[in-house]
Amino acid sequence: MIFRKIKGVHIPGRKEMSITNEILTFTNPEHVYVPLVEQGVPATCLVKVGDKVKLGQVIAEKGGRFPIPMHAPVSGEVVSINQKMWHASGRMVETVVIKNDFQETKHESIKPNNTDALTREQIIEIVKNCGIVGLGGSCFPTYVKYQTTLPIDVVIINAAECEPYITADYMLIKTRVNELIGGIKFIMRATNAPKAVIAIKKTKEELIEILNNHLANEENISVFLLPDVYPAGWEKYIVQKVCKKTYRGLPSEAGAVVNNVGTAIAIYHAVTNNMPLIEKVVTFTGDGFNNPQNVYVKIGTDIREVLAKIGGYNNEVTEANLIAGGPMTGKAVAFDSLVVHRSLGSVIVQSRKIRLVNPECMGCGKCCDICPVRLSPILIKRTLEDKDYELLADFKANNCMECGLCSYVCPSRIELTDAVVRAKTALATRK
Amino acid sequence: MTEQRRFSLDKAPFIRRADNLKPLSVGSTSVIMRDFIISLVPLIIFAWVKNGLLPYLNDNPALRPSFLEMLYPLLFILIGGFFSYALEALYYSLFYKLRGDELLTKLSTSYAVIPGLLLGMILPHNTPIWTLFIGCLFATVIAKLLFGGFGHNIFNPALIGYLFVIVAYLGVIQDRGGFLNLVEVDGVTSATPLGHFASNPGASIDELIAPYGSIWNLFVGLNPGSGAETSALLCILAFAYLTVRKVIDWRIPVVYIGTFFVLVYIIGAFNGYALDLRYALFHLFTGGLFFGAVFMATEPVTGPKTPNGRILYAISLGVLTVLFRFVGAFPEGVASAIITMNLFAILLDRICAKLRVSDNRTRIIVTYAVFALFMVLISVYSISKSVFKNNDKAAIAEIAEVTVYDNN
Repeated sequence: MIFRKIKGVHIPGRKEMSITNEILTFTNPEHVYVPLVEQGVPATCLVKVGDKVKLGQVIAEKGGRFPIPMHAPVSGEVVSINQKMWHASGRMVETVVIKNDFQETKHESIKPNNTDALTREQIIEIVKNCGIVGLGGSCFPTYVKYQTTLPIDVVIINAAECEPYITADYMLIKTRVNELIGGIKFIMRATNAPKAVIAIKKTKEELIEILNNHLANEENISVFLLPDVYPAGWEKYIVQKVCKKTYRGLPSEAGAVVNNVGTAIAIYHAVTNNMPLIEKVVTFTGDGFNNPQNVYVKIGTDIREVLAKIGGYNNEVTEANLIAGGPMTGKAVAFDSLVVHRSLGSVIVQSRKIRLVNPECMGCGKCCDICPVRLSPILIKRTLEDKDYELLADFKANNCMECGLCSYVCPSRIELTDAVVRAKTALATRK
Repeated sequence: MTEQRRFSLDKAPFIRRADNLKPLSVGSTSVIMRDFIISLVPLIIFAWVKNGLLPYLNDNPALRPSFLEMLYPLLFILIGGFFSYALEALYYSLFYKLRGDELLTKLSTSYAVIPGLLLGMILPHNTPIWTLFIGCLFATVIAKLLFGGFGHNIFNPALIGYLFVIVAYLGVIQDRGGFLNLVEVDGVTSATPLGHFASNPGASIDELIAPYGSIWNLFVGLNPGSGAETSALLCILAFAYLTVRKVIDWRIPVVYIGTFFVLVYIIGAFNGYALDLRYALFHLFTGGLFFGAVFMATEPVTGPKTPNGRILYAISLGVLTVLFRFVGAFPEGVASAIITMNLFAILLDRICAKLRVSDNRTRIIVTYAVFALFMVLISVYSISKSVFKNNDKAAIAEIAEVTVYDNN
């Protein structure tokens, strides 16, 4: 494919909302609800109602092409295995409900490793067994990225956090930089990569200073500055910036492995202590909360329990959207019985913005101009309305990565992203 | 556990540029249209000063228009805007039964004044009001509303109105003084620069410029011509404003005028002006080229939406303008070129949207090459025609000389 430079657009971040408050740790909810689905693939439940489970015990196994286990975030008793809860995908999913006994009894597998003696294969195995998935939002099993046979030149840690509002990675770097660097070293060993870079937006000066201080003695790890644009955190964008190469399928084609900050920290705990991925930082932000902040929670926490800890909803906001994920790519969820799953980065409650009178498309072409994958959203929307699927396939609607920029820039507030996603689904189901 | 709270379901993304309602934001369609109208204001004032105020202030009382005649060029444009607004209101209240607030909302998202306003600016200011009305009827009702209103029209409404009026009522306009204002009627300038050119295609550049003083005058716009479109300078200023405010795509005017300039320079070179840019500049600053390129060719509804499509569109416009100007029957070429290319906008979009995402290098190169070949062929044709004219002239002159000699 011809090398084509991806453009980005500056979007006001409004990160200050959740950055000023400290991270709150809330790791003892009364119940946890572990969703039995990930990336749309159902998981097989391995426990039954009444079972006593220990923290870190495998309770479910996701099948499909890239199987990965799921672990009990707390110790306690399984009280239900099919209670439906709202999930970040915008649908209700079945969950395993565990009643917390507040004992934090750890499973036998959780014990320190002799990290120096581990081989590449052993590290990859640990990463798989600990259920480490991409915490940037994709939930893609991380071990798959390391199993490549292609040579990896560089490990890229994605610290761009280009979505507005979210500050989870920001707070992680600020408070856990040593664990991050430890995790990066394990990733380098797992991929045989000679060097690593931490790609971060150049506007996050505070973090760059922290990183530079801690990386002073690390020869192979450096900081890479990204422009303050959206979608700077898109894998393809970062690889293009760092490696000056592009690829079609996985970044390994360009000799890179890209991991999120949260993933690197999870890997550090997995490799040193066999600690599975059962906790993560979630940003609670938006004008609908009284005290927007980052919260360190167990996977499977019902967000209503967190809500009580962070001061509840702002009562002045009557009509609001509950968004699971970032404001650009997240999904609106109808009810707040939402559970935290492994790659939920943020929960946003913001007052509903809607314009009743919208002009017709005037054809300004801003959507075509801005699209990072060079689609022509307005043409795709019209073609979809005409049900001309041959042409849709030629327009490559299936290349859409749902970044939301076309809808963001549209002066007539047309739901372009939605239309392109529908076109993508229509093409996929027709094949 | 507390009760569930219900939330609204909307589509991602949850932040939109269009939601930013600050006056300086560039996000929403209404702001874009507001900026568009703002950019027209200096040109409207210029049209009035040139055709109304300056003749009124001249020293010769015999050539001085009456007070109402002085205001006429300004009123003419405003009335054009009023006509198209009123016609659209009438249309929606008659056929869609919209009343009151509903009607006002519809009109506010349909930007009803713009076609008439533009039509008033590109018609000669001597056009009678009833002709303007018929032009507005064509522009608004036939070219815009019958296609489905704002966003659905295929042809630029103002240009359809313009072409209709020029084709059907040019005689009427000529009778009332044509393109000239009262001062110009009496002066050495007897025609618009392009009219002058059309009647003497073989004339030397000095002869072409002589009636208008200098290239600078043509650039500023102090030459006879349609209402507001003579000033290239003001069009460039409007272009800068519209580009900064992200209303128009800067690539269209730049590529359009660039292509046109290159072709006219080649024609000039073949006619013996290889080192004299005045020939190319004469064509650049006359007629409605700058106005058309900045305000008409960039009209987003009727043009292509894809960025590469826009480049091809602009190149085609340049090539066709040259073709129509040097080979066609009318001295202008901009309006016909834009209307012709409006027809191709959908085709260009379709091809270009595929090319943008295509991985097939050969296909991309072949498509662009075919397009380039097509454009080169048309250009070669128009260049050969315009050079022939000159040689023809020279041949005629030679024959004439021989005859004169013989007679002696």
